[in-house]
Formats: sequence, structure tokens, C-alpha cells
Amino acid sequence: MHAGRKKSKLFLRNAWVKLAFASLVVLLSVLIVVVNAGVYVIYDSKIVAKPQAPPLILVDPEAQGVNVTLGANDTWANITVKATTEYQEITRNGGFDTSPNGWLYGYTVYSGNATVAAAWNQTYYFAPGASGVVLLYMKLYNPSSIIGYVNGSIYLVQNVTIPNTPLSSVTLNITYYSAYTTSFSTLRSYYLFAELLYTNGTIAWSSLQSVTTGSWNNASFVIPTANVKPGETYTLLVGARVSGRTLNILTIVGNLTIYQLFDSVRLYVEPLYPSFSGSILDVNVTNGNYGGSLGVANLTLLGGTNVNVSVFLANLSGGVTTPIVVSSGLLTSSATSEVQLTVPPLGYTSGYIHLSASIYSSSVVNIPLRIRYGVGGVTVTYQVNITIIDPPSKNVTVSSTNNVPHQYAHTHLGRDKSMKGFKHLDKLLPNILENSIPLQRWRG
Amino acid sequence: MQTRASFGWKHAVALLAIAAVASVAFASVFVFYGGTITAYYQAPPVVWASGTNTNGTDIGGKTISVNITGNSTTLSIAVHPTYGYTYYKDIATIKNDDTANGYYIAIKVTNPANITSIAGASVKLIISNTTSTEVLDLGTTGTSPWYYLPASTSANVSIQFYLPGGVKLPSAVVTEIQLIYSTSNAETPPSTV
Repeated sequence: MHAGRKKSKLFLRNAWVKLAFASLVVLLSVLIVVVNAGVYVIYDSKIVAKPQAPPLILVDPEAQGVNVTLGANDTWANITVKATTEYQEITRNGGFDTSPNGWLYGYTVYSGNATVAAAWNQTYYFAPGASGVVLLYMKLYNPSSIIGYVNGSIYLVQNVTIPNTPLSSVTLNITYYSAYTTSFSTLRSYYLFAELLYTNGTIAWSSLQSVTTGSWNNASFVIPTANVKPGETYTLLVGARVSGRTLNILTIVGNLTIYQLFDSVRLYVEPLYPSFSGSILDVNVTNGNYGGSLGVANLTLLGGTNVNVSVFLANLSGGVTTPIVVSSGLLTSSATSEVQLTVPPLGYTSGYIHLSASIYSSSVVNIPLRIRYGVGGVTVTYQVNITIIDPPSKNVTVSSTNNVPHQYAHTHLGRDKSMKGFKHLDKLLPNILENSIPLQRWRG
Repeated sequence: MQTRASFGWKHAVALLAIAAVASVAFASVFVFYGGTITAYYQAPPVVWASGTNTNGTDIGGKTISVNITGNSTTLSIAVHPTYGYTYYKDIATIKNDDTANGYYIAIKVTNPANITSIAGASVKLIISNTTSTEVLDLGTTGTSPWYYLPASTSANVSIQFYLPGGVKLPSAVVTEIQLIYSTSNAETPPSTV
């Protein structure tokens, strides 16, 4: 009897253990199921892309020392740049051969009032023999007194960057044609002038020369190398400065008018070490307004520590980004700031990539550049690969007289004759301007 | 001696037996248990929402078209890329409106971008927040890994196109995707039936 009760108790204890174990298993199973509950919600969505022609394309500027291979659809480019110690022009489109691209105009009136115009044309009626010429027109008058004084200047403007290497010489060569008319006025002075301004507007270098009127002439300005800093960007101003007296009686308002033409404005430098400075690629917007910038990725420099490179993007109105900088072989800035790129007026491109580089002799430097443009949250990126090489030297001399159009090279009319000789210019002017490409105004 | 009829009672029994067996073999026995399924529909906790560049300006004077419909459960995007890389940043977001629970989200490509015939061309979807980024190739069928979206947070949706210069512009590149979200990341999400 006692043994039977003991057996029964043992059975009961085993049963409880089994029940507890079974409950634990069930509980764990439930927990696993709850934790891993597979509830999935699925939404259908669609993305449709309608590709379009590129609203910004790359353009070969056909610059000296630059070989551009444009990719299909003008959306990528391989560029080879020749860095040399030869004389090199650092102005962009210094010959105005096919357009005024790269140049703006500005004017300053010191005394009196002025009416101004600036235009590019393939030829001009009153100064034939040159192709691709810029006209700067300024009519000065001062109706505030019987004898009024007038004084003003009108000029071409372009940003130039000095190569980042010591220079042997800096020379500005200009081919120009000056003419003026007077109406109840007298001319007191008429100068050709050139200036280099720092980016803050202060003068780094300035010079004046008297003009010869009524003929195509060459002028040369030698800029002391001490006045320009290697690697610095300056604003170059080249134009005419004039002063005179005007007579004002009743309805007669005297005026002094100048017609200043340029066939070329070229700034040359002679670097001590292989270098290059200039625009290497133009960009053209066909539709819309975009913020443009440059970036560089995976930069491999093969030129050693004597490599100095600066690349920036500029727009047609003179705005520039901060540069990508390689200093002594080290990449110190890999991306630029942004500059606005817009559909350009006739004769201009929207912007350009400017390169300034100095490298070791006989070395090669590769820069995998990216040009980016966009609006809002959209960014388009094109690849532009730049190779800078120092090829074998080939001496080139720069002549200051090789651009004079022969037909008018020796037809100096003189100041007195000029008054009669150019009277017809006022009548021709509307027709001239109508058939020309107007220059864009400098906002500096 | 008279012969018996050829069909006797033994045959009848045999036929009855066969019929009985057959009737048992094909018997349809149905058992019914009562059950109830009740669905309490709720507002979707995870939805498509606008990004900072939804319906913004596209290149070429066009507009980025983003339509979010069906109680924010359907997204439809139309953009206008060009040659090179065209990146559409933050044109939509995936938003977790649940203030208490996080969800795992994934993107499934059900109909890949029809540009596989163009060598080098690609379309990529980028999902990102401040801590992580997921990039999904929209040119192939597949499902992205799970991406955790904590309670009351959102993830930005960006798209990048690459079209090499020199090819003919496709008239339209269509990609169909599914946004999937779940309380669990333990399993691969099922397909819709």
C-alpha cells in the first residue's frame, strides 16, 4: 500500500515536469512566431526617364597650345595642353577673328555725359583691311556750361591669369585704329591706355600712349615682371582715354566722339619653366540657367613636387569659381565653387575652363577633371581628362608688327584732317552697329 | 439436361460488392469548421512623401514630375536625364509615420530599366538618411537588402542615370519597382500573387 502511494507521487511529479516542459516549448514557439511575424506591405511604383539632348555642351576653343578631342554629343573631352618656356599668349581670343567671345567692354566718364556703344564685326566700312574688329564708340558732351569740359575712357576687359612660374618678360601687343569727330568742340588729348587690376580693383600696372589717328597701328607695352605675380589673376583693361572742350549755346550742344577699333589685343608672357595659362575648353548652354563647377577625382601626379596647377570655371560676364589647386605636387583643393552659366548672347560662349600650370621639364601630368552643372537637385557630370606635357622646345618670336592690315598701314590722316575725314562716321554708325554683334558690358 | 441461365445470383453479388467498394473509394466527405477573419484597415504607417526636389526644375527647362497617389502608397516619377551622369537628389522620401515602431524597408525591381542594350548605361536608386546609404541597380531584377527605418524618420530617395555619349537617345526608360516594408527582416519578402 505504501509502495503504491510512493509510485503514484512519482508519477504525478513526472507528469508535472512533462507539462511544464511542454508549456515552455509552446510558449517559445509562440514567441518565435510573434517576433518573426512576416507582415509585408508592398507598394507598386514607376520611374520613367525621358532622356533629352544635353542642354550644356563642350566646345573646342581652338586655343594655341591646346589640342581638344571632343567626345560624341560633345559631353566629354580629352585635352592635351602644351606647357612650354616659349612665348605664349595668355589672352583669350586676342585676335577677335570670329567673334568678340571672351571680351567685355566698360567705360568711365570723369567729366560730362556720354553715349557709348561697343560691337564686333567682320569688317568695318571706314577701316577696311582688317577682319574681325571690335569698335568702341563714345560720344562725350557737357551741356551744363557754355564751355564744358569732357573727359572719359572706353575699354575692353578680360581676366588673365599669369602662369605660376617666374617670368622673363610680359608684353602687351595691340593693333588699333583711332578716329574722332568734333562738333562745336575741341580735342585736348587722346590716349591708348592699358591696365592690369587686382581682383579687388586696385591697379597693379598702368600705362598710356598717344594714339595715331586715321590708320591701323601697332602699339606695344612692356610690363615689368615685378608688377605681375606668378599665378595671380588680373583684370586686363585696354582702351582709349580722351578729353576735350565743348561749346553749348542755346540749342547747340557740342560733342566729342571717338571711334576706337581693335584688330588684336594680345598679352604675351615668357616663362622661365614649362608652363601654360589660358582657356582650354569652352562650355555652351543651349537651354536654361545652371550653376557650374569643377571637381577632380583620383588625381595621380607624375610630375613630382615641381607641379603647380590651378583650374577654374569662368562665365561670360567675368565671374569665376574658386580654383582646384595642386601646389608643389599636392592636391590642396579638389573642387571649385559655383558660377552661373546661362545661354550666351550671339558671338559668345557661356563659359570656359581656365588652366594655369607649371611642370617639370619633359614631364607629364594627368588631371581627371569633372565638370558639373545643374539646377535645384539635378546635377549632370561630364568627364574632361587633361594631360599637360612639356614637349621639346621650339623657339618662337613674337612680332609686334605682323598684324597691321597693309591697306591702311600708312594712311595717317593727321588730327586736323581727321575732323573732315571722319564726319561721315556718325551717319554710318547706325548701319555699322545694326550689322554687328554687340559686346557685353563689364560689371566690374 | 436443361442449361442454367448464364447470369446467376453469384454474379449479382459480385457486382454489388464492386459497386460498394467503388462507392467507398470515391466518397466525398466534407467537414466544416467555423472561423472568422476580421481585417481592421489602418492608415499606412510607411508612405511615399515629397523630397526637397519633388516637382523641382529639371535640366533643359523641364520639370521633375513626381506624383504620389493612392494615399501615398503609389509613386510615379518622370525625369529628363541627358548624356553623362545625371543625378536627381532627394526627389522623394520614404516616411515612417509610426511614432512607436520602426520598419524594415526594401525596394524590389519588378521591371528593370530597359537600357541594358546600351553598353555602360545604368540607372541607380539611392536610399539614404543621416546614418546609412543603400544603392540599388535598377537595371536588373532583384530586391535590395533590408533598410531599417526607425520610428518617425524618413529616408531620401535619389536616382542617378548614366548614358554614354554617342548612343542614340532612348525615347523612354521605364523602371517598375515595389516598395516593401515589414515589421521583420528575418525573411526575404514574398512576391505578390
